[in-house]
Amino acid sequence: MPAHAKDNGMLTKDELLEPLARARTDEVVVTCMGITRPWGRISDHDLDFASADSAMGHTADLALGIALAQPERRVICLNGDGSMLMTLGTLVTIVEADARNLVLFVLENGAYEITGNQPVPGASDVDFPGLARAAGFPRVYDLAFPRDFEAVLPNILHSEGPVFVGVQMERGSEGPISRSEREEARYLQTSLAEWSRVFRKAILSPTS
Amino acid sequence: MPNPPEGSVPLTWDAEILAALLAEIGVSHVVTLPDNTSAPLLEAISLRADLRLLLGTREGEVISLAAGLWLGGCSPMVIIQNTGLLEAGDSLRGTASRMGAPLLMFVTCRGYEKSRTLGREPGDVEVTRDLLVRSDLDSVAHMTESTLRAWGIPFLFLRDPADLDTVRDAWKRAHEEERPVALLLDTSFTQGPRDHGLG
Repeated sequence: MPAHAKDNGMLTKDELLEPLARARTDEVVVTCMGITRPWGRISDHDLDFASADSAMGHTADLALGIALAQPERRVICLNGDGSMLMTLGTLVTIVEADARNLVLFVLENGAYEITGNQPVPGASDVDFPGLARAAGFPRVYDLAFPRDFEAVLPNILHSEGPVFVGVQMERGSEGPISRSEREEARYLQTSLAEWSRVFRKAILSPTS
Repeated sequence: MPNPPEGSVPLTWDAEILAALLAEIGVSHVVTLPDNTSAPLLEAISLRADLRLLLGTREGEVISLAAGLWLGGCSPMVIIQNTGLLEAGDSLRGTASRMGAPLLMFVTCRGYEKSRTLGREPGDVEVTRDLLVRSDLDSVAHMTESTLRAWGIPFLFLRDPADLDTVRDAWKRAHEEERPVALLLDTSFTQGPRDHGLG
């Protein structure tokens, strides 16, 4: 457990996602790996994008591109700690690009969940909020309790960013993510190419 | 691909003209990680108000960021070295290629000149263990074209300064076929905006 975290504080996926889904209006939400299915079960929105069946570790940079393309729209990225480690430099790129509409969550469960919960390197030591501060993020949140998350969620969603949110998470048990008609979440039921067009059409629509 | 004329020397380019062409064809963002060859072109792009230049920290990030720009409704392109192309492999496969995103990629050709001074055309050489360890050859030159073929990325060469239509063709092809298309910059830029006294 990182030194900055509370010893007994962790959020479940429901404790993170349900308040977020209630507060969400027209923001883009980009999900990664173990959070794609849970988010897809409670949200059915053309501006949801699952970084699944895609390029491992490239969720934050993909979300950055969307944010820069749509500076007037808030973009929320629900990234995993393992994924974030794969492109740590993106923390710097986000700040350098001045993506003020980007909210980057790093969900710290300390594990590669979908491959069997193997420990992420440095899981007990890495200070992700500290890395974000060092990269220059102007707003950094370090959360471990549901009540704290709900209290700051309005600020997270409405403050000028880029915003970094580190959240201590309980480990889940999601398996490998697929894209097929068998998936429950609509945004996983089609190919990446097909959903990319659904998403792009929605984001370019004047009514979205 | 046709070989350059025997005894040819690297052709010089006007980086400013090429930057203007990028704006003309509709590029919105240029995402890049600089290399020795691209510096004059990046400088010319940075001076244009109608192109936004974004620097990444690694080429895989450059590709994924560009894919995100396209998802968001923009018309990006990338400029990376052939070494960076290799680094970006899974990002390219899993984002732009798998999304069917029209992505123009300028790929600078490190090692091509070195190979030609030894009488070898890079794309025609079998990649052996001996070739990979030779210090007088740059192994990336011998992997560039075969890698693009393996990844299903069409590519063209930019060698003739009068052939800027090739840039237009590559852009058009990427959009018509909805896929990444690479333009191998088999040349060097020696003239930047300052050489024209434009300030």
